[in-house]
Amino acid sequence: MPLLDVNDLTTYFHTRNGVVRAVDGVSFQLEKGETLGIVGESGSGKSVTCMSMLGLIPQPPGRIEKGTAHFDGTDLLHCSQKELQTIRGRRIAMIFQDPMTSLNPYLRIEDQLIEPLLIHELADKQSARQQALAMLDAVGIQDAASRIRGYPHEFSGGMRQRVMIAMALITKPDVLIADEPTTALDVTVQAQILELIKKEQQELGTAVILITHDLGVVSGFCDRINVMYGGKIVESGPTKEIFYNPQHPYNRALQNSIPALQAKGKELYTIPGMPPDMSKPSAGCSFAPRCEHATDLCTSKPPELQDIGKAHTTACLRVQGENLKP
Amino acid sequence: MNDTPTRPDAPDTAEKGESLWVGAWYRLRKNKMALAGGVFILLLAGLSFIGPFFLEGDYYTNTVLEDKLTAPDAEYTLGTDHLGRDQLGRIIKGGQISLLVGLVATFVSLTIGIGYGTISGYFGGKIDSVMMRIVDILYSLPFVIFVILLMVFAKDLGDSIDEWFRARGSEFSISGQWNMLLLFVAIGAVEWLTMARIVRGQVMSLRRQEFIEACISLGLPTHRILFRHMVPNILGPVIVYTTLTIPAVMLLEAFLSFLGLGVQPPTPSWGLLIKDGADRMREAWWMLVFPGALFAITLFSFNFVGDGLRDALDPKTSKD
Amino acid sequence: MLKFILRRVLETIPVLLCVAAMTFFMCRLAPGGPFDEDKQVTAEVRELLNKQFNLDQPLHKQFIQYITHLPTLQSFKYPNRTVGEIISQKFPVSAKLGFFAMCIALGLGILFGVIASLRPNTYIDYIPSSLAMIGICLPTFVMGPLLMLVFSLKLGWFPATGWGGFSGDQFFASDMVLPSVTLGFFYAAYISRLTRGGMLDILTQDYIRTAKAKGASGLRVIVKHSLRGGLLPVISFMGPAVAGLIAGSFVIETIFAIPGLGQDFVKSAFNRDYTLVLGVVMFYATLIILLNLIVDILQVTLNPKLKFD
Repeated sequence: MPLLDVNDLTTYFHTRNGVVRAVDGVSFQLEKGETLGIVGESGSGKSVTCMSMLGLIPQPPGRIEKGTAHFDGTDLLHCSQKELQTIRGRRIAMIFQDPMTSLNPYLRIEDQLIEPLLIHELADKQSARQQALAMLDAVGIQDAASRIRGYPHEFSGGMRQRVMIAMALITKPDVLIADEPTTALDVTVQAQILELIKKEQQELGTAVILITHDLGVVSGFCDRINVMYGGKIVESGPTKEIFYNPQHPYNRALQNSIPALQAKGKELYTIPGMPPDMSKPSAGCSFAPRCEHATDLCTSKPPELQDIGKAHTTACLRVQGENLKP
Repeated sequence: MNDTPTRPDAPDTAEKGESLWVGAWYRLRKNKMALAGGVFILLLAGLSFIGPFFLEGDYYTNTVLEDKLTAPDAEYTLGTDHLGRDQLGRIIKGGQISLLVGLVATFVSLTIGIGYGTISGYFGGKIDSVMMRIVDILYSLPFVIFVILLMVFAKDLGDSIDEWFRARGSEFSISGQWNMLLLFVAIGAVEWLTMARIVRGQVMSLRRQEFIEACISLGLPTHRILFRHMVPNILGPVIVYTTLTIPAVMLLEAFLSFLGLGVQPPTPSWGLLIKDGADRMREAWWMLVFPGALFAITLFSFNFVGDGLRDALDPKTSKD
Repeated sequence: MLKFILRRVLETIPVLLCVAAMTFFMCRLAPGGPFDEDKQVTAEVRELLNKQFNLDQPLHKQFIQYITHLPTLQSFKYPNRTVGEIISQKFPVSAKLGFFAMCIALGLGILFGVIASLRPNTYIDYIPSSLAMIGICLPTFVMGPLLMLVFSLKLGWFPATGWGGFSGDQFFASDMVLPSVTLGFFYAAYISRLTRGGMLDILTQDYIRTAKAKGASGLRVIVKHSLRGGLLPVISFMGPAVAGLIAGSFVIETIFAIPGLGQDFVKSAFNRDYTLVLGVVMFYATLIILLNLIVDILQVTLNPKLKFD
């Protein structure tokens, strides 16, 4: 039985300008200790998927329309607020994209670090302090004993993300959701943060869901990858399969647009067109308007995820019907 | 050649300005409360300033002692006061005075505030920090107390001025309007502080924008940059704050009149009428309730219009 | 911090001197004098009186005497009583009124503001917000008489005037209710709007989401993570609020016939009671400047991003 089993998760935002179908029937599983990458461009619904599971979607305007998310016997989408609170932070922890705004500017680092332990009554204040200090040390904050008394604004972006990681892992959670943890950071710091997450994951045996728009980040990091587009998973499989045997045209296009993988002097590849307007549902494949292989059928019949072998699934009619020519 | 330097930015600001104002009007129209407030203010202004032309000259002083303290009836729609004066007439005249004080004193504060804030924000640096420190200090002073003192002590100054002119053989007389003049100045001198702060903030952020830098590099004289290019661009927040200043000013006027320091009887203002009503509420509730309610609704309307304008002119706040 | 306080106190001295000078010369350059009203006073007696009160001296000498001996100077209107005595007797009454009004303002204002901010644009928000709008638009001098009309004259729940409680030894009496509510309601309304705005601002911040992700309960999110930042606008409003409460007390004390300092101040200005006017103005100015200083210190201590400089 997987640790986390998400089935047909659907989250809509009911705004003045219409219903935005941010997440539209997403299903995936996460095994114990596994690392899962969720890749997609901004607005593809990858963050909303994870926040829906933890009940962090602002409601209204957001609403979870249907689906289940079973975590260790509890349906996260249908349990009580109280139950959810005992899982959040203790068994599933989350770190966010922007470390500059994700820490409370009015509270000392120490108070924020020990808070998960106190909320879930895992330690008294005294031992919580010691654990916080050890954790801060472990995430590579130098002079932790004095820095722990400081406020967030005295820390750099990379340092703050380290604090966020320490805060998320202090309860030794089963799952860590990292929502673009390196996007707001300098390139040199990005690698350090990923290293740190990897190191802590191996020590604690935590399963990690890594949300990112950067294929380079997931390639060396994840066991499995879900590629999301327009609120749906369009391709899913082991990292190797996704990279060496890409099937969905969107996945191919994504990989073609990694500058480092392209020949020098060649013009940079970009995906033509704009991300879909999620408030206007499309009858067929949402990638069809930007797809170079799109047929008439693509714009009228919605594709379903189908297994194409080696635990690799894809949602493209052409791939499913006749194999796509490279 | 003189005017050509203003050209480069003109199409840009015009275009921006238009879409901003059109969008604002569209958003304002959708705000029912603000619209209702605006209509009420227009009706009130019409009643107070045009209404008196259809009434007899002494409509607010005509004393019929035998009809004193009449409850509202067919003859006196809103009843009469302790001297038998028609309450409706007095409320109309009172509204005229209150609105007049509100508008003129707001204009005074507007002028001071915009001038002060523009200079402070435009020159920045030391000048700015000194000028803003002064505003901070003035903020922390009990200004209402000074206004009270000014109203008390300068009350008879009008007579002295008249005497001074009469001694020199002049017919000039100011004492009739003296109290109103004093009100305009005293209130205007208090209410400009916030306006100065708002304008300064706007000017400072504008100054950093390219089209002002373009003007500076074109060598336009300072006063021209200030008044041709900056003042029109700070209009939005200024309009919003002006609509919110008018009720504050009217409140201060009524407050002073209530203490007996504002408009002098027999000329009524709403503050005075409320004071008279409060003194006699045991026997004549209508003397308190009608002017009080009207005053509150007027303040309501101005605040709603101000809030509505703020939402309409600042698209950021009206997103969701 | 000490340096900051010291600098602010030093800065206060010239400001207070300016206030004193403005008040003094405004009083003295205006027509009229303290003994004008007493018609029966003959010219000789007036001269004697002027001498007794040093009114025959040059103005600048009087000014220096005034500011150096202010608390011990005699009142013109209440002979044999010094300015200091009058203030120390009357101010506690006004302070008590202000204290209760402030409690009402902060208590109700923050409570309703927080409630409104939790469910924006629903009825839970509309009802307190409309109440706040009424509170802001209904001036104290309309609300005071109206409350009195309804609750004491018609319903008879509270005494209309008297204020025995305030001048007596009792900490609280029923005649304090209406004046305190009247004075505090406007500020309660304003504070609830500030609180709502401040809280709405904070509740949409990323770090609130972080707190929820940690498993913090709704109450904990509000109390521990939001209130501190959400109440900063309220804290910075406290300075003007106190100044406003003082001005408001002039009206409230007139309406409810409360023997406080506010009433005395207005009367003393009318009476050309120069010493008392100057005394009360200087007292209030010092009080307000002092409270502003406390508010500034509070702001720095509550907001770690600010520093004393």
